[in-house]
Amino acid sequence: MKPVLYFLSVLLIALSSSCKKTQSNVLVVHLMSEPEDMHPTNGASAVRAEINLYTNLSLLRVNYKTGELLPCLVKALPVVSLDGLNYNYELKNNMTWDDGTPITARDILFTAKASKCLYTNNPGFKPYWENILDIEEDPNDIRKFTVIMKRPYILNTWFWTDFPILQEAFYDKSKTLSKYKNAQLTDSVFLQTKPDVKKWADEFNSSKYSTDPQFMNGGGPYKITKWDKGVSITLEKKKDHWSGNCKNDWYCQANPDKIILKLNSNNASALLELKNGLIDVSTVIDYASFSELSKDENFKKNYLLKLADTYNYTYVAMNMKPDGQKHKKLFTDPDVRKAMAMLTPYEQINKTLYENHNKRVIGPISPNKPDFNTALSPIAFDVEAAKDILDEAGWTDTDNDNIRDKMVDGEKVKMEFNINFIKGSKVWEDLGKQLSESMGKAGIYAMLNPLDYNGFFGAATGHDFDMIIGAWQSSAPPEDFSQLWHSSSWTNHGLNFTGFGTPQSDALIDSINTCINEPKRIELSKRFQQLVYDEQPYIFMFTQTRRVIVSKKWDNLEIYTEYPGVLLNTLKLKD
Amino acid sequence: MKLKQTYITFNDILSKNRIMRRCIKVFFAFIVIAILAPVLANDRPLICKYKGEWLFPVFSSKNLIFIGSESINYNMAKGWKTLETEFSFFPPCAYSPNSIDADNAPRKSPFDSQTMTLKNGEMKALPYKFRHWLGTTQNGNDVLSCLVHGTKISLSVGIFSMLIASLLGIVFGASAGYFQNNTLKIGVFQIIFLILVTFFNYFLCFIIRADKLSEGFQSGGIWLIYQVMFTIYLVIQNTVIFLWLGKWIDKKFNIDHKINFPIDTIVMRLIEILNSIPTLLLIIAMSAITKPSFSLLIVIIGFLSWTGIARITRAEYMKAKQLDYVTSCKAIGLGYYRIIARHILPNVLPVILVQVVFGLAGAVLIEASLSFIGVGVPLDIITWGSLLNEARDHFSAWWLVVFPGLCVFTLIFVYNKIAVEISKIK
Amino acid sequence: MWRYALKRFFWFIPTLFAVTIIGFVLLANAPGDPVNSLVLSSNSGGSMQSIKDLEIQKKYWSKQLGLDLPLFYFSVQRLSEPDTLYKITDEAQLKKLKADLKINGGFKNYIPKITWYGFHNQYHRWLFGGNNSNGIVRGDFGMSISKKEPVIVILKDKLIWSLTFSILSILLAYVISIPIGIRMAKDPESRFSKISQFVLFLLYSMPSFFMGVLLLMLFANPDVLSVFPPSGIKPIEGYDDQSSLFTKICDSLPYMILPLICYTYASLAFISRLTATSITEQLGLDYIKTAKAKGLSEKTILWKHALKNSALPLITVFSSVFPGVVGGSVIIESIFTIPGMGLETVRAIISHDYPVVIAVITLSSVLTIFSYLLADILYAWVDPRIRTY
Repeated sequence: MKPVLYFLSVLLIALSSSCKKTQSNVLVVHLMSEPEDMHPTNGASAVRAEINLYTNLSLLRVNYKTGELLPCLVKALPVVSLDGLNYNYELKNNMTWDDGTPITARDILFTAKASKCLYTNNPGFKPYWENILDIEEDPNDIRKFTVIMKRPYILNTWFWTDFPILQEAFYDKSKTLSKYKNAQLTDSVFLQTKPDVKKWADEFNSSKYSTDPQFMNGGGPYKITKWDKGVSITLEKKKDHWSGNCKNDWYCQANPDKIILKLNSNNASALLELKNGLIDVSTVIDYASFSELSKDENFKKNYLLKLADTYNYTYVAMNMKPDGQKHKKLFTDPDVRKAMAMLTPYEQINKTLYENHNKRVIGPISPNKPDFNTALSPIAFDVEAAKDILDEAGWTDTDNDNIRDKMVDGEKVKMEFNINFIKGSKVWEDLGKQLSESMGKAGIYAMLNPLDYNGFFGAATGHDFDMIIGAWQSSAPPEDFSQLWHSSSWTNHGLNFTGFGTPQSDALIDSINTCINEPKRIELSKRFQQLVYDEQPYIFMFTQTRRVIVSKKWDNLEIYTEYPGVLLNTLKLKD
Repeated sequence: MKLKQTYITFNDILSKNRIMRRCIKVFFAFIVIAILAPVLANDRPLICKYKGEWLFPVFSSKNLIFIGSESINYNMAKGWKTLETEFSFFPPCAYSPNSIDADNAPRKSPFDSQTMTLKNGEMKALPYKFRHWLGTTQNGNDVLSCLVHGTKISLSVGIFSMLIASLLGIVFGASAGYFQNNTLKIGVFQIIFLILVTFFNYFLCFIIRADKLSEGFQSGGIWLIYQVMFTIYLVIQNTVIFLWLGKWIDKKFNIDHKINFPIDTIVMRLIEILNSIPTLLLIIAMSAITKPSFSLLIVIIGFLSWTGIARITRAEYMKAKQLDYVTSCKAIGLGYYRIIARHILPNVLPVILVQVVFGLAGAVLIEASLSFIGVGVPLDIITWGSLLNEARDHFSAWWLVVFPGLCVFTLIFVYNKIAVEISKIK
Repeated sequence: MWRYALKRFFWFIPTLFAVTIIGFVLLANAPGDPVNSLVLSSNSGGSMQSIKDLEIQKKYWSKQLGLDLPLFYFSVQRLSEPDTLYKITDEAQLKKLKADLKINGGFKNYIPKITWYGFHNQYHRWLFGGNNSNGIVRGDFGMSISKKEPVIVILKDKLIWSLTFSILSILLAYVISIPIGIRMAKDPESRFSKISQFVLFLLYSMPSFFMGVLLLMLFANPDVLSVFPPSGIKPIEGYDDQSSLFTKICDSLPYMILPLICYTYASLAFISRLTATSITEQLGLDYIKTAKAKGLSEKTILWKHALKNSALPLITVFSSVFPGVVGGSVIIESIFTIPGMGLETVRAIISHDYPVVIAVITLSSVLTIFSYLLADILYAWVDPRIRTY
């Protein structure tokens, strides 16, 4: 019987110690997926961007309340020259890095060089830096510098909000990059003769800067002190940050002593953790769990639950320009694409998968943005009308096998295809099943084809798909349509998966991008939305809603539309 | 003759053993459910009368019929329930596993109030004949229907994979146990030809037939099994031809030197290698390489789980070899094949059966585990394990845990119990 | 004794080789082009400005990964194909070329050809190193495609957790089931024996994922009973920096109980049953009767003499339980979010990170082989008669 006794005593220990939660000033945040890496320039995941908000500083930040630009490292918004190409900035005084050295224009120069250098491993971000021609520092004042742009562009100031400023003395101890000019660093012929740049880049790209907290450095009020892979990431407040007394702007606030980002990719156990009071903040728990929690009176005593809008949206993209061999010409006709949009059971999907929390999107702009075109009406779910459109477009079931077919280029093509989506997401799997069932009713046979991340993107950018389910994350700055909708982005295997784009639409995108006048830009943007609406390259589905759950132990909560919705560093522990 | 005797004794024992009888009854109940699944759970009515015409939608393979000017699509899923028929008789569970019932989604518990939308958009309470007795999933799939159709998959994965496994296990085990290392003697040229045929078989399987095989792996289903079986047949045929050729040359050149063929060592090494690789991990890795399908799963499980059967068979054959009836068989000069297959096999079959039935339980467990973690099984077929997988994200949906869990548990329990009871019979 | 151990060890070497070959074959046949994925998401040493740069990148990575080498020591090919075909790493190009060769090949298509490549091949590189690799014999399993870190770095911590759980659970299984087995042997007809036998058999048939989800639903759910933490392996704040091993264990204990139950319960029936049968066997032997005649207490007889002599089958069980525990970790770790090898495997499978998957398979196979070896040697140690055999 002895082992049983031992076992019981073990149980008792467990009982006594399991649910203890320290009352200290530590904020525990639920994380759904771990960032792949935390490299200051090379990483890509959204979580990394969120952590960078607290551990790094940029020239400019977003003012979350108004959705406008907020000067962060600089004293004020830049002075722009008349031609819209030169931007004069002046850095604030008294700013220092962790080692006590001041933050100067040299660091800004270094950041730009490190990001633009051909050897740096940041293909996703290179295009953003493309437009910078050069940065000139003021010879008299180490705090003043001028950014020279290649062309006027709506995001010429906005783009700084995404990029953390790097400390030259930390990332480039031998000052290799300062020897070269911006133009030289982007010249592949020139670089081949410079082994020292290659050496620096190999060091800079190495995995220690992306995984080892000892090699993570930034100007923000927090520092990553521990990264327990697969378990948690710990951010600790810096003891003597230069901004110690700045309480007005969110970027330098540091109320919790520690922020622990706890990884839990399983919804059910995250829900249990929330119920046990082990997690303070969650913005990623799934819709169903959120609904369940919001019905729980006991839970609501301790937690605040709120739904918040986001700029993100879900879509189903169709291949408008297939090769005709591997992928048949199914969706080349805008009417067929419209019929597909009519076959999507929006209400059913919103109800079963999103608990009716999501709003419809109509075009490539979130309804939460000022330039959203309200004149366009959402396409409604209507199977019968869709069938009629398909019949008219020539897609009929001639051989009575319940799948529509049509003669295309002298060949009988059946309306059957794969729906690609990224593996591992239950919601997308269910979404795919509902789409496929609904299309099945109209004589269209859609198979589910889950792919891994790389496979999915390879197929999408390589135009090797028929239909994909995806989602775009967007943010407050004015929308640049060129990445997703410019036809050059299709030919270059960029993010324009579908092949959308005519000379007119391309010209419109270019004029939007260079339009500094805001009301005019909004008008152009609305016109562009109309263009997309007529073409229907996507089935535009829903905006995503952020499910914010915050413990009532924490005060000073504000919820924003902009990512990440809740600024963790501003939360204050109640007395 | 011997088989018949075994059968009679088996029947005799069965009539005395109450537990076993019950377990076998439950097992047959599962089989009946699996076979009758389309009739038991289907969203088409079994019989209905529409505008004066009698229809049998469950049994019809047509997609579309015309009644008067109106066309009726047989795949209209929920449409059948709102169709204004004069008479209709639905299966006991009026849903197909994949049909989506948006009115009762997401996740309605068996005790929740369930509704349906009529054609005119009106909502009303779901009549009892359409009720989701065991609740629904996120997408509104009927759990009972998924369980009924899942039975087919669980049973067939177990039974077919064990068919492959027992075939391999008995062949390998019997030859290892009977011949051991010192009985089977082959000539010099036969050895040379054996090495040659290994290369030739490799060439045949992985180069000449590579396209066909990969096509089979991509499409799955019967085609895959056909391709694999055909390849195996070719391999065996080649081996036999080459061995025969070797023998012929040996005879022709009068080479009398014979070498012991260590078949026992070879088989035991093979078993050791396969046993040392964690089966579940290997299956996950292999099934993720190609497009997931249940036929692929059957083939993989079959090819990986013959080791237990082979071990038991080997041990039994080693024992049987010492027995009188085998020595007397040898004395009258019966051939290897006759002794192995006709005389020893029926006697050792019950012992092998124990292992096979345990293997059935193992295969069911593997299938359910894979479905549970959602790797290596097709997405569009809902199985017991994948229902449980759905519950993993939502513990409040207890019906998604309890019912499928109990199904897996019962089937495994029944298999295990039958195996244990057979092993008690001596 | 040592000679026997050494002999057993040499017997295991071919098995080890075979296991690595299986692992390598899987790796080589894994779908998707690792070079493509690496270039897509990372391109150390250059930007992707033009297609030409991309080609250079691909070349660089296939050299780095050793993909420009022949696959194995030798190859079997069609006679119509040149023996330097391996140098083409691009899959689409290779396919096209092969199709062309096949059309022009004629009868040569159906004649096999064996080419010997020597030690300069991918398998040799993978196993023993060379060409930017240290080989798995020195612990280098290559690079993870999705994380771009050496596989062994990713797996190191995870291996420790997985091993802790498997060893603890096996120990726990012995500790619980041996006393039950002894009691069952002492009085097979007692109510205790019958009930425990039935319960253990029920548990034996219980799928571990069902058990795991049930346990979580029942014992970590504030709506039912909130006794254990629902996920993870240590307190959210992590361990204190100065804490000793003991305090670490104490901190982690509540997190480990539910998973340990899951790991353990299935093997209880097996081990206790075995203990019972082998002790019953022993009890019928003469020396026990002598011991009884000498007046030794029943307890001493059972626990000292009978158990010691029935240790043999119990030891072999170790080697048959271990692989199950390693494989089962995939399920249990993903239920309880334990950062072990199982969870990592599932992640790697979903993101097609094959080097990690193969490393896990190879590592666990090697571990299993060593557990067999250990069992063999222990066996010989307990029963000296075996050594002569």
